[in-house]
Amino acid sequence: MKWTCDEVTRQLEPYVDGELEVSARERVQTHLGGCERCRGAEGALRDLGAAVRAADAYAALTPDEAGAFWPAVRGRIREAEAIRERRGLAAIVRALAQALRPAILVPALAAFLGLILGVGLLRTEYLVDKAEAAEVQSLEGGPTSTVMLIQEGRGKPPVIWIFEDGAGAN
Amino acid sequence: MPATRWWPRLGLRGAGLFILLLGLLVAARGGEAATVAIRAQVVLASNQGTGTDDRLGAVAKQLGEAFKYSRYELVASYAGTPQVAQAWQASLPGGRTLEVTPTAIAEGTAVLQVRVLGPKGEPLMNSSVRLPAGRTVFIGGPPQSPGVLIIALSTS
Repeated sequence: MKWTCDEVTRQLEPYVDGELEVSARERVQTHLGGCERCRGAEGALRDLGAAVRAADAYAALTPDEAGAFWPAVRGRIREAEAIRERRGLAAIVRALAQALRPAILVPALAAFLGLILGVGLLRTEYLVDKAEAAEVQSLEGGPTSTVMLIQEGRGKPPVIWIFEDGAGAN
Repeated sequence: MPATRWWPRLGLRGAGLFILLLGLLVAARGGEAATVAIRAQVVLASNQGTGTDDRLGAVAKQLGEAFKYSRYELVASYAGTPQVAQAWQASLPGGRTLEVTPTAIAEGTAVLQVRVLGPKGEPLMNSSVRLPAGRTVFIGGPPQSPGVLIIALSTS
């Protein structure tokens, strides 16, 4: 007859400690083979046992051994952290390699060049000349003078030249 | 109090405050008279001697490109900030007068009525110039020993 979960749970501790008889051990093993919940309980019990054994081992250390214990633990932690950092760096390199694929790189470069070109065009004299040039809208002389407008364009200031009566052109 | 009751009220208050501040800003700007900063540099250009007055600054290069005189000397420099429809005057050598009246100012560009008057107040030149900020127009020709006067009129 198969054992229920409650029955197996009651037998788990002696099972983990290797204290069950053969028939009982086989029943537990059969149940664990088909019951995930009881397997989890068995794992937790084994972890607890390992922790207790580690604590017992630490308590049994000589003062010199105990003094070297925590530095050794810290060293292991640092090693694990270094491994994680190396994995992080590798992930960054992989992401960069991904970004440098032509499908991503080409549009990004095109957008960048377009931006640079656009900014450059806006700074050219041509657009400034079109949009912001000084402009003489009307011009007239007086009763004793004649005027002339000289507009050379391309960003150069317009020149209004006044010829006063009796004065020659300069 | 449920959240659905006070959020809409806060939104209405916020919108009301925003509209009030916007109105104040518009009113404050509307209250300011539009002005334009004008600078007139009066230059004596001649072929007696060589050199360009250091005080001419950026205008020196433009003068050299536009004219063929060998010497440019700054004889006077004027600055003012007239309002629209307010005449601004500067004295020129030979009893002449430069008169600038802004007729419109918008988005960094001013439209100026520019006149040069003779010693008796007679107009020698009357022009309307659209002058964006930082741009220059040259007004030259009146004789002044040993050369001619050139006025570099600019706004900022």
